[in-house]
Amino acid sequence: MAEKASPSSNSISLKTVDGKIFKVSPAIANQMLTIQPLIKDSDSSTIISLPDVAAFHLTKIIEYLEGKPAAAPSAVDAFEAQFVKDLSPEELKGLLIAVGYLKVNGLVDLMANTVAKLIENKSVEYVRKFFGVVNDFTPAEEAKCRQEHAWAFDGVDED
Amino acid sequence: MKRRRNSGNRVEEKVDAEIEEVCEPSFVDLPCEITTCILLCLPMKSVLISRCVCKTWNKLISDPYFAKLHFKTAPFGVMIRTNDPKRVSRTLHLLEYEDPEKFHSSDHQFCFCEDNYLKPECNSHLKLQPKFKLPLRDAKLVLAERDEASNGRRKRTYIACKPRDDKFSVVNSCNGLICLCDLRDREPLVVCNPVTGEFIRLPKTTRIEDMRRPVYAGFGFHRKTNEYKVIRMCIKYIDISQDIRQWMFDRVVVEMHTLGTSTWKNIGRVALAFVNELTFPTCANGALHWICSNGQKGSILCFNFESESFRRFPPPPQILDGNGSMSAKNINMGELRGFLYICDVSSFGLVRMWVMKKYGIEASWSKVLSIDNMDEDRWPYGLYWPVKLFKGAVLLYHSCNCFIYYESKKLKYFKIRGSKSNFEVFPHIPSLISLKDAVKGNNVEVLNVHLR
Repeated sequence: MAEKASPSSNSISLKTVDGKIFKVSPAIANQMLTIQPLIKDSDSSTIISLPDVAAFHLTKIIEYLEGKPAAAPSAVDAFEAQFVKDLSPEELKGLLIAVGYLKVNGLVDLMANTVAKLIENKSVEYVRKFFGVVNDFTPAEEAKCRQEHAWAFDGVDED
Repeated sequence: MKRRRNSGNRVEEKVDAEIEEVCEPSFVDLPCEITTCILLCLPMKSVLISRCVCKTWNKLISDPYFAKLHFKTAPFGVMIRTNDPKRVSRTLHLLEYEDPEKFHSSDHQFCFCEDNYLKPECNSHLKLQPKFKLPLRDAKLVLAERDEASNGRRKRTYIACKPRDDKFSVVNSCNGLICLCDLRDREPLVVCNPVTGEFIRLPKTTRIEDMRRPVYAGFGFHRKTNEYKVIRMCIKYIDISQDIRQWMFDRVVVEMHTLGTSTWKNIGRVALAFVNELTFPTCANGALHWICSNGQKGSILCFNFESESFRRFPPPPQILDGNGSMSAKNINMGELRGFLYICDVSSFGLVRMWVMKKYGIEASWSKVLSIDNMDEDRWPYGLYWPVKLFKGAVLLYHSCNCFIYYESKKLKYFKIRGSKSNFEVFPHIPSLISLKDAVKGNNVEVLNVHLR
């Protein structure tokens, strides 16, 4: 983590894809691994543009990075549970992409886990729709793949 | 999957006057690392479903690197197999619930829900899935018979097998692989990975006529050399008279097979007293262990893969009776996150479990569980086997076909339905690691139950 007293302690400006500018401390910005190398050369006039991140997502990310160290060690689990609790699947998706792009310390695992819970025990079709993935198997290839794990398709949750 | 933007210089010294077009984010943009992170969080069943989503995911999951990562974080599971003496069950059911929530929030029963047992109320039961297939003893013969019987028409789903000839017993599971043995003499025959369907036949051993006692075997992994080893111990007798057949104890034969080689290697000797009633082969800390309950003193027999030598160490002193012996009937041993554990249910209504915190040191046996349930009316008689430890809770298998979930002094029963027979239950960590990657050597013929 960057020291608060370092010469580059001026706040860092981050510009989201929807044009909002956020000022964050270097300590917070440093935990976004993608922009970490850019921070050293930044000064107060620098604006780092984040093409994959919307204002809503950056707000959540900052909330996480500020809130987690403030929580007591025993309360971290509860904080993380609360953090993802009210997010809709759509918001989760967007946030995961933002978090994945920025490579936010700790948050990648939390988000991946949360998304995984949503597709656990779901059908292939549900997972495709959820992720917006296009099925690029030929029918024969898909049949073969399904055949190998035929049991896995029994008793999946209703979509 | 295509990614819209390549990584490049994303910094702009000045704010661009143009406002970028705001577009709905799509998972297609998700970097492979993040997709991998999500897939790694899934239980085995969902991982295998995910293979059929698209080519990219299939490739990602088929990658040996993914298999290794997934195994590292894979939770302890339990394999369950019906144990009908009249039938040969090739099916293993994996119970992989990592979330204790499923147990204490549910009143449901476990259910195999086989087709012929499907009942409407089964929809609300916890499913014992996924299912995997074990290899057959002599697949060629059995399948040829089946093909002959079907005579080119639709294949029969049911294959007639005789347990005596066709059934495998389980020696033990280690690192996602299972060693299988003969039902009667317990000769180790096959090592398989039920998740990938792959299996390897072990080389033939020098069998000894008139074997009056079974072979004691164990299967383990030697971390230093990355080798899988099978140990077999049998007692050799010699014919001491020419005229009448009279057999005398000669010595204990100990042989070791390293997967990937084509031979069994003779290794040293072990005293006869050790090779008696060896149960619960368990690999931990670069060594194989068995509970040795017969004889004067109950102990744990240990074979170290590095020194290739045997030694013994004592079990938790509390489980020994006044004479220093212990009853094998109510004790089981296993490995839990790298530690050896012993569970004892020898007193009625009292389940105790110890973990060896410092390997090989007797004083480090620490009690991690003690269920005293003397007053419980419903406490059924039988063998209890801890299958999974959660934080402050434990899942036990009970020999009357049920699982018991114990948390804060409360017991919850989960009856297994779907089969009238008993069950065989053993701990297993499911693994996607191919036998081809796990086993080195030129002498390996990796077969697959799916490729026939």
